[in-house]
Amino acid sequence: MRASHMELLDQWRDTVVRDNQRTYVSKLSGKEFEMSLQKTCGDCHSNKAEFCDACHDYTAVQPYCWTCHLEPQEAP
Amino acid sequence: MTESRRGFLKLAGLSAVAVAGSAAVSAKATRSEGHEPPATTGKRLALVVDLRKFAKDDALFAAVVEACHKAHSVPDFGDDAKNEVKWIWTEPFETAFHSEEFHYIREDLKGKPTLLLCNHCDNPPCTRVCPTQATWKRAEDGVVMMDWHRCIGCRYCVVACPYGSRSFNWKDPRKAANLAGLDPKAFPTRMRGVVEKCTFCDERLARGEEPACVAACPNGEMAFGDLNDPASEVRRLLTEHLAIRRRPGLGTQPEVYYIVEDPRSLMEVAPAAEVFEVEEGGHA
Repeated sequence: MRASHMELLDQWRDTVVRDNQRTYVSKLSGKEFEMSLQKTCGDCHSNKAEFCDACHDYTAVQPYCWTCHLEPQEAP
Repeated sequence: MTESRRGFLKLAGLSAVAVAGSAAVSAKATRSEGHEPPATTGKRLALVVDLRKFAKDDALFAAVVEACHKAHSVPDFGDDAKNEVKWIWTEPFETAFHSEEFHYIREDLKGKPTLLLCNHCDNPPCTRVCPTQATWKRAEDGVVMMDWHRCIGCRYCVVACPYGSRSFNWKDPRKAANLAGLDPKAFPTRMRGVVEKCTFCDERLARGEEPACVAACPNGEMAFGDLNDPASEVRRLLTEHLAIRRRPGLGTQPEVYYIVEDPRSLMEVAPAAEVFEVEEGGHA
């Protein structure tokens, strides 16, 4: 996931927006997920500073996910 | 060696002919695009706005606009007209239907607010001009979609749309006062330099819900449904009432209909004999 999450996000984005398919079915467990950065990814990876910024800062990449999508907020 | 060179040239010639041939076929296939009657297979989603019902409740316009703009995190820059972003809005009746050239309209219709939004045309000019296919017409239900990830902000679509349904984000929408402290699960905003418009609530349609504007109407002031389904509410309304569309002469085939008057009520007001008398008087 650390190496290729951007590919997954890219695929999910195209599947949802272009093909109107919003549910991802895991090939391993058969579990269903809504393909949503804010609703699904953000539920567990709720700390943007640790899950996103830590590596992005280190590798000096600046993805612009959060100019539109809303950052997850950690439960207080 | 010469033979293989000759063979290569023959092959190259043949492939060139094949490529040109397939290009001609594909050009023929695309040329007719947009000049055909609306598809009769699959869904054709449309919206019917009943202006007679809206006339009974002036406060409803604001409620409908608010419901849509809140559901889609549309920025509000107050009176700053240049930076205005709108998915659904109102215009005076004569302005909304200026191509109809209503000259002597009834006093109660004059200047009456009319709800406007993207018409989700059957033949949308905006999608043709988009250089990145960031906007396109969804084949399965006719929704004119937006992919805000792909929009490069060239604004060709803003110019191409004859209905003013597209807004450009000149300013960072996140700076708008109404978008401060959005819930992390709310609809994403757009970024500066991106065009936005109504998408018939594709995110709600995916959940099997009606668009937010229709859901905000308490008494069926707006109806939403499939025009290709003869039993649908929209088809019933369009069969029973006189409905107009904005600038149909342009050939864009808009799919937002406005019921302005019930023909049966017109007949009650003016029976045939009276109309005849008035005409006679007019010619004298």
